[in-house]
Amino acid sequence: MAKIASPRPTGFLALLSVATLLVLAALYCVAFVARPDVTLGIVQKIFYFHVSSAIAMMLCLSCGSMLSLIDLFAPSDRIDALAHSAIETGLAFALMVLTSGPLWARKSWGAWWTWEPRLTLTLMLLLLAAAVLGIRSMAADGSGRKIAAALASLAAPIAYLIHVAVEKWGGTHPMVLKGGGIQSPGMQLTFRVAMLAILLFAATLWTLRFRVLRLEQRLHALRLELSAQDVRKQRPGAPT
Amino acid sequence: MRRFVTAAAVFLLPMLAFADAPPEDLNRFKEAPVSGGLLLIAAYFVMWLVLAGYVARTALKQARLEAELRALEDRLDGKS
Repeated sequence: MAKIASPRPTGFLALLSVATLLVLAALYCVAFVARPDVTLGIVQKIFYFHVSSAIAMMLCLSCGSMLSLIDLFAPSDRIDALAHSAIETGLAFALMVLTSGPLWARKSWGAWWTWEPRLTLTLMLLLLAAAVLGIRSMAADGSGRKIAAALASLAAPIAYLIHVAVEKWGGTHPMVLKGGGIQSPGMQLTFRVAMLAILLFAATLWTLRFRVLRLEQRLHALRLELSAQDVRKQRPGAPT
Repeated sequence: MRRFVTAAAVFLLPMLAFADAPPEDLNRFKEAPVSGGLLLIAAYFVMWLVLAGYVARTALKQARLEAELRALEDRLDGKS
């Protein structure tokens, strides 16, 4: 029997190295390049990774949502693995957002949590991603795949609503006006480096998780082939 | 089915408890100042802990699966 090639995309290690270097550079910028905010003080430095993680979360979950929709109508193991890995990576970033956010909010708003539109929608998105993964793991025989894919397809609209929540319904999050936002060159540079680092890190994690899921699928196929060989061995007349 | 019901109960019961709770008085936080530096360190620690945990879990799973895949391939080669 021909060996099944292990899924090793070339350049994965290079991607991982560049992502790690960029993360280190971003941490350096946060510590030494960006000055503390005049109004909020040092706690404002949470912003650089909090906002970048939120964008990574929305991108990963939106991609996972669209891939799930494709998988719903044209089922394919590859698309399914891509969607599943995107949702899992998105969930990791959602956890980062919803742990760093309250710590920042405690200082700047005076409360760990408020039920404002953007926060509530982000929590909904996190619970949705957790539910999708929960359904998949509980229905291990594949019966939950369609239900999970249908549920996951809701993630993209929720991510869009998170994006427009402040503009449409207000809330405690600040509204970023055109041409506004951070003005200091040091802060701008730090934000750009952090954003690039987090997005590249998200892509690396997505690739890593995708490889593992493809391995699982190959393993499943091999087990099936092995059991078919066992049947043929026991019944030599059985069709091959 | 039982697992679905248990999972739903685990998710929903704490929500019911929160639904009955009186609205939180946000003013009490304003009276207790906290160190911004401490919150910053806590935020970065938790964020990187989440990411490191996820990477470690995935990498360990990959190593275990690759070993299992090699063993199965060898077994299939021996048989065919």
